[in-house]
Amino acid sequence: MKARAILKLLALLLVMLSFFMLASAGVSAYFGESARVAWAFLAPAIGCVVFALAVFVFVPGKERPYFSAKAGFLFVSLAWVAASLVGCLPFLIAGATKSLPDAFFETMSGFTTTGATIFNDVEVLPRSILLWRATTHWLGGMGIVVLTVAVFPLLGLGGLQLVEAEAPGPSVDKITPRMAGTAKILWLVYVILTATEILLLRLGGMGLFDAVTHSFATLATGGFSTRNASVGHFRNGFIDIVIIVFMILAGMNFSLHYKIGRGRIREALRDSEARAYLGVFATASTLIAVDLLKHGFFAGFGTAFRYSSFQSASILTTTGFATTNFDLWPPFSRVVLLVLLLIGGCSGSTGGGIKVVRYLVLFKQAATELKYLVFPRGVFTVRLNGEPVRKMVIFDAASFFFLYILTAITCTLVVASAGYGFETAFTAALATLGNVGPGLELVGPACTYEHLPDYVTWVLSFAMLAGRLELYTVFVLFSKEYRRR
Amino acid sequence: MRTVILGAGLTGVQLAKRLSEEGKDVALVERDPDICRVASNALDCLVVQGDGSLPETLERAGIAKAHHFVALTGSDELNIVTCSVVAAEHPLVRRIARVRNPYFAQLAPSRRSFMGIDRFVNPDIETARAFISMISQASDSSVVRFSDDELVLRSSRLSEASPFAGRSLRESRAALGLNFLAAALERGHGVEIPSGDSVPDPGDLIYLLGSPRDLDELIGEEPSALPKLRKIVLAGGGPVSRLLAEGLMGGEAATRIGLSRGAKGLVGKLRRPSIALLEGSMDSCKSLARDLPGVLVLNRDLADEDLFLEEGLTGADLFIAATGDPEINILAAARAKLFGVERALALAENNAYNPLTEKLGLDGVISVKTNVVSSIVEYLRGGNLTTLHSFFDRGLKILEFTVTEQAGLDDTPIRELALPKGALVIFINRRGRSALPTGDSRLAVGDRLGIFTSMDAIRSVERLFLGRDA
Repeated sequence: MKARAILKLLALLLVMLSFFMLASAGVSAYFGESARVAWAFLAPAIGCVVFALAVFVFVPGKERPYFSAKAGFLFVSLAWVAASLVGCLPFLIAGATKSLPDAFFETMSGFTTTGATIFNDVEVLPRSILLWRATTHWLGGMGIVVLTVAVFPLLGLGGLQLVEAEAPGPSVDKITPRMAGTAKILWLVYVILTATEILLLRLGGMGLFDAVTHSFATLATGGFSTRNASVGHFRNGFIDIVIIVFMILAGMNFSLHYKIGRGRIREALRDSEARAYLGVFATASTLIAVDLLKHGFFAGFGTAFRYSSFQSASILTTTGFATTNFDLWPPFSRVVLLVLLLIGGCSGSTGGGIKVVRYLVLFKQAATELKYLVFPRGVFTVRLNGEPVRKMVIFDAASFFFLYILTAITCTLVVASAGYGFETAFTAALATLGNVGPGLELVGPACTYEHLPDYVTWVLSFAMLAGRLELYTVFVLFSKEYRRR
Repeated sequence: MRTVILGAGLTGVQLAKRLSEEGKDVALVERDPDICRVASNALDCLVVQGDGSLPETLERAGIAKAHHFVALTGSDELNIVTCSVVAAEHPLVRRIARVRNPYFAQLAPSRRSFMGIDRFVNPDIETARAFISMISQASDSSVVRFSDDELVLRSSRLSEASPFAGRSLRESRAALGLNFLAAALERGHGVEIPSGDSVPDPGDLIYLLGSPRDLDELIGEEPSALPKLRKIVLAGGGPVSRLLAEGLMGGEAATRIGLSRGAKGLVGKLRRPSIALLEGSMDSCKSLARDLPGVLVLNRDLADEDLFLEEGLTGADLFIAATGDPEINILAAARAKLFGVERALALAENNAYNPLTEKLGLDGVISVKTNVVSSIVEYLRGGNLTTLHSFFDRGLKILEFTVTEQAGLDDTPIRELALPKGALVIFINRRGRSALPTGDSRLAVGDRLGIFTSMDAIRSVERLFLGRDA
């Protein structure tokens, strides 16, 4: 019964994916690309539909699928792996990548909104392939499972489990009583923001194709560009500013955008996570700008701040765009960016990383521990936004933090075992686990992940998935308790 | 004027006693026959045995002729339901209910009548309010300020060299050429309201009303206000402590029930006061810490030997013991005084321990029941006559009376008011400006009169201003 439910939902998800593949096939036909590229999309799309039909015809059982928490974890992890496997077929069939690990890495990087690429030259790729890369970002940003829940309202009570297993951050804010309703609203906000950015980028003089792909990559905090020099290619201050603003918006909790849209602005402004997030962004931008000025990188503070704020926003929100090769920046600026790599966006955003809210909770918990030292018999409550934080949430944040660092160190070891230095290995691990994309040195903005050996590519693909699903959803599948029951 | 009281518990009996002493008709309704018997032996009032929620019982108690109905059973629900019944059957009777659920207390001021109740009396809120008013008054008992700054009441112990000593007040006034009013004279045997012929002696305590500048000249500079409260300790995690903490912190909930208004100005403005709350039960502590951000909640037993030194509570500005146990409260407050706490107050159930208070060095005791009774009596007296200020320890009160058309006092000179001995009109506030009256000052509708009165004279004052049947 559980296997049946998982199979059916998976089939629906693939049907949805095939719909977006058809869009790329259409673009391919429009630009008059070769038949092989068009078939690279058509074939998997047809395959998905046939698979779905087969599942619904031959698998018996008409009851609504119910998901326990346990089945939810399994389904979400499976869904992401399956989507990446199907999604990498166009790359392989079109001959854009040489091997399966590279194609899988690229697709996983797309869906998890990492933005790490194995393409040394993206400008030679067919446009339909570029659109497909951006589409994987856009779908993965708000979550492919959330989208499935929103589109197919056949999920009953189990919906929350699924969304919670996929959503970034420690908890899901239910905006409406029904999970499907919440999922729909989040997607609606997402679509509106994307459309707005496309419009603004067009106003900034960007071509429609570039505007769409870059907007997809911004709102998802992905980072795939259609240009080798990323956003730096356009050399346009207005475009930089638009992308900075939308990266910052994408890194914030989407239920805040919903509140602002409903006129509850004061409530949104008081959100302590959003405040901390904006504070970190402003501080990092200023520090880097001052450092860059001191080392004579730019002539004036304004220019320095334009580049520093773009890069701070890009790394903090885990987008991974670049307007310049920041790997060449002075050591202090690089260290600030490294710190941002460790932070990540807000809960409920499309950004990855450890998330600002966890830092906030742990910081407050640490402050409370200090109070206990002064008043051993005192009773204190950790508060967030004025509301008491439950002990479970604090423990959850602490163990997440630990698990995250542990995973990062493990991945660093794996990358280093292939002969890479500390800086490359450590930032490669953080940039994939945190879904950022570019790191420093050999995985910096001017380089790609192409030169990594296959086993490292597999491990980093896994790191991206684990990071996107917030570790627990993936790791729980390997726990003894999970397998025993 | 008849009042029907439901529930012959401590509060019900005390209220019945107070009202019947003031010469009002009281009917007490009680379900328990034994309690009825005790009550009817102790009180000069009608005691009706029966289920108060039945209209029939209330009829027997004479609800049809009553002006007020007061529901004081132990159950919120029964009080509310009975008031609704009375409201349906006798809509003209004003209905008062004791309701412990704090939700209703915040409703009361904004609504005329809710669920058939004209006034909700919440014992916890009344108690917290009494504590806060006690703190604000006792913080400087020799100066009483009113709503505007034009007049101030000050008391001063007369020395040999005082310009008042040894001559009549009339002579003093002529000689000094300043405008003031001597409101009361406290001598060895008690308080008297002086006339122009009274001759104060050295050692008397004189209460003077006048402009702040004139009084500074007469009896010296006003003592500078006491330092603001910075360190406050609340003992016990009950509802009263909660309310006090919220009131002193100026919390939103406290503002809604009007607790913060009294607390304003008591606590230092620059820094929020440091409030420590002591509670023995860990579960209560957790819920207190959750609900009262900014309050230091300490899980301590009041009987711990090292409590004050360990938690650094010595030298606090204020200690309020408000656990559910009056004996513990009084002992804890007395102990706090020993550890150098500036002022220690305790919560008691009734007046039983009042005589001990001074002996133990406490600065005040608030009794829940007495306080609830006073608040009800005040309400029954009607909105035109309210208490501005009480000198708790001296048996003196300043009442405020608003002159209405019904009172029939328009254009009456003060001289012709038949004020009882022991009562004096000390100021007339007309359109927001206060002035000292003379015997020839004429009243006008809308005036607010300040009346200085001893406890003995209160009833006569009420009768005078509120009409015969009050």
